[in-house]
Amino acid sequence: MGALTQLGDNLAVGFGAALAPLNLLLGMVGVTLGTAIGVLPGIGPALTISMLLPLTFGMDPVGAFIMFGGIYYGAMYGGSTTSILVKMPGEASSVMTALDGFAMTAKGRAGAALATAAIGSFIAGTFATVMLMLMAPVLVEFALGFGPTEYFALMVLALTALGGLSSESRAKTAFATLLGLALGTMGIDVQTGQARFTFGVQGLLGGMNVVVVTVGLFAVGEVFWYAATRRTAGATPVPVRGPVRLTRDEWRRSFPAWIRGTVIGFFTGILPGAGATVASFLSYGAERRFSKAPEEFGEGAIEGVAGPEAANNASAGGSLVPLLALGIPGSGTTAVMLAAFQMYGLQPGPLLFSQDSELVWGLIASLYVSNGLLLVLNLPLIGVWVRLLQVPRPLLFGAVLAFSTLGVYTLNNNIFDVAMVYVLGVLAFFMRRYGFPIAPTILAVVLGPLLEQQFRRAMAISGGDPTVFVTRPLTAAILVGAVAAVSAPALTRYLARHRAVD
Amino acid sequence: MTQGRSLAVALVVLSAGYLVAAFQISEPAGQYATIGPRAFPIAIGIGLLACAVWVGLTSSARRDLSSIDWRVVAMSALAFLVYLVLLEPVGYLLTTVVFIATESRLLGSRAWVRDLIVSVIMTASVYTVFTLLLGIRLPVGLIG
Repeated sequence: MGALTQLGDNLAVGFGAALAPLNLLLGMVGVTLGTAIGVLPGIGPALTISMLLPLTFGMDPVGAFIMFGGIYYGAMYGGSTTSILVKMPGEASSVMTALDGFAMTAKGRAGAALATAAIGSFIAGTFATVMLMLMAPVLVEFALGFGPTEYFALMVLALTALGGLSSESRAKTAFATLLGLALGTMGIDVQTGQARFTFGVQGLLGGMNVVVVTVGLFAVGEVFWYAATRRTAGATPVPVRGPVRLTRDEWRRSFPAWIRGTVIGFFTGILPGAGATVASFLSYGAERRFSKAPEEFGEGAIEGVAGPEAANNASAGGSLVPLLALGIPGSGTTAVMLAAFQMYGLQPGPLLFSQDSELVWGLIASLYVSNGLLLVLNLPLIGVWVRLLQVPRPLLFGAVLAFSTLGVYTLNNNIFDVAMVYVLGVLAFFMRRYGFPIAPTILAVVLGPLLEQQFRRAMAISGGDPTVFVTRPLTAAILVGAVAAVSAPALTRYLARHRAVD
Repeated sequence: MTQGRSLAVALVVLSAGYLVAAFQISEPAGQYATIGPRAFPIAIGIGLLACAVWVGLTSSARRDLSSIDWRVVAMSALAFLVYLVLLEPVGYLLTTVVFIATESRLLGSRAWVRDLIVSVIMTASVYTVFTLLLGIRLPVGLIG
């Protein structure tokens, strides 16, 4: 009973913050921007949030995080639109949606595909937010007993799980992760004051600014990559004929798929490293398995759109659970959000819940509001978003390049930061050119310094005895999980088999 | 195949360089901390080296080699570099307008006038948001 009244109090505080006029406005900006970047291929939530970080520096953190939450959820809605209408996923998490979504469009059922994606996203997003609201405080309670060894183990798990579940070459993913850790070691060592890898350059003493790293690797790298391939040129969306709604039969077929997708998505989202893309793959596989007519998949089965779209939205909510409760991100987007917390001098985790409950609960409450706004934005207003695909891509990427660098410049009014962004952009280009994933590097840059700090703290407490990592049961269990994540290619094989349907 | 091997060689060189630099970090004497500032970078360096070899053994380079338009990448990188150098002396407004229009053309747009108009509008509105609403100072240069 006590827990329930406390939840009520927290929600009251949260909705009070989320419905304050300025925050509501920022939430609307967030969902609109999120949907837009979701629709546009090549521009994702991690990139957008990192571009906005310098701008929000002077803002109230509650408003900033409400906007970021809206962007994150909005991108999951928007990604499906491009998949369904152009057969080119707006986000990686909408790859599976393109299979049956575009097949439905080809059969003249684009309206139904868009409707099942939007309604499924709404159900999944709302359910995931409820679960986030219920689970995060429980996890916080549990995490109060965590020491440095547990945090160290959790971060190791987050980094290895990303590699274990990645679709790229595992050797390359491992290298990309270590590269991020290496970048993270640059600058003054906080525990001893010793400069590392600064080569006498003044600007490197402060270490790698996370905004600089994310803008460089995501935004600038993306533009250089676009310059090299220009793969997104010439996308002409199929005009939507007929109303964006479902027939009775389509409702009946979509509903179980939404529910299964939501559950799969939420729990996949909580797992470190898994995230929206894996969630949508798993959901697609599950739908095909449950279907009485698996041969319809790839030919326009509505379950193939309903399930994955619910799953990727639910996973966004799920991934916020470890981020908020433990301060451990599991994906590119949540890594950038952790960077945003750090920029404000905040450390997500148990302390944040007790000290800054307005921020935590304001963010959670705003996610309910955002979901409602997104349903409105994506059902009646879908035509507006389709038109967005006609924005000339060269102009768009030119603007991304100019404004992201400008944002970085304003961080310290320093051209050195912009030069770093440039170097990292070139690095990201070569990484993509040779098939190295970018997200593990970002995650490792953000987590690396924390990982080292916790490790050294644990060793200092134990007096240099490394057995603390195996004698504390929870730590040992998490580390075993981390080992399992690297050494169990079973899941990767499972995913690869289901990808082969393409 | 040779492409994959030269990639691995580059990665090994990069990793070895990091490892060598890691060994040169000096350990402050008489520290109470059991693990000094060197241990972690050395561990990362060894890991990098191992992974570089692993990449060399397992992966070949990407398949879509021919699709890279190196000329456009190089020109974009150069345009960006010029933008970087001129941003402070010439000022934000002028450089950004020219940069967006140039970059759009490099990326394949052929609508000169439209690009120029759009970049003027975008640059001016961003300038307004930054300076008036957020109170952030942008480089003024020749014209403010």
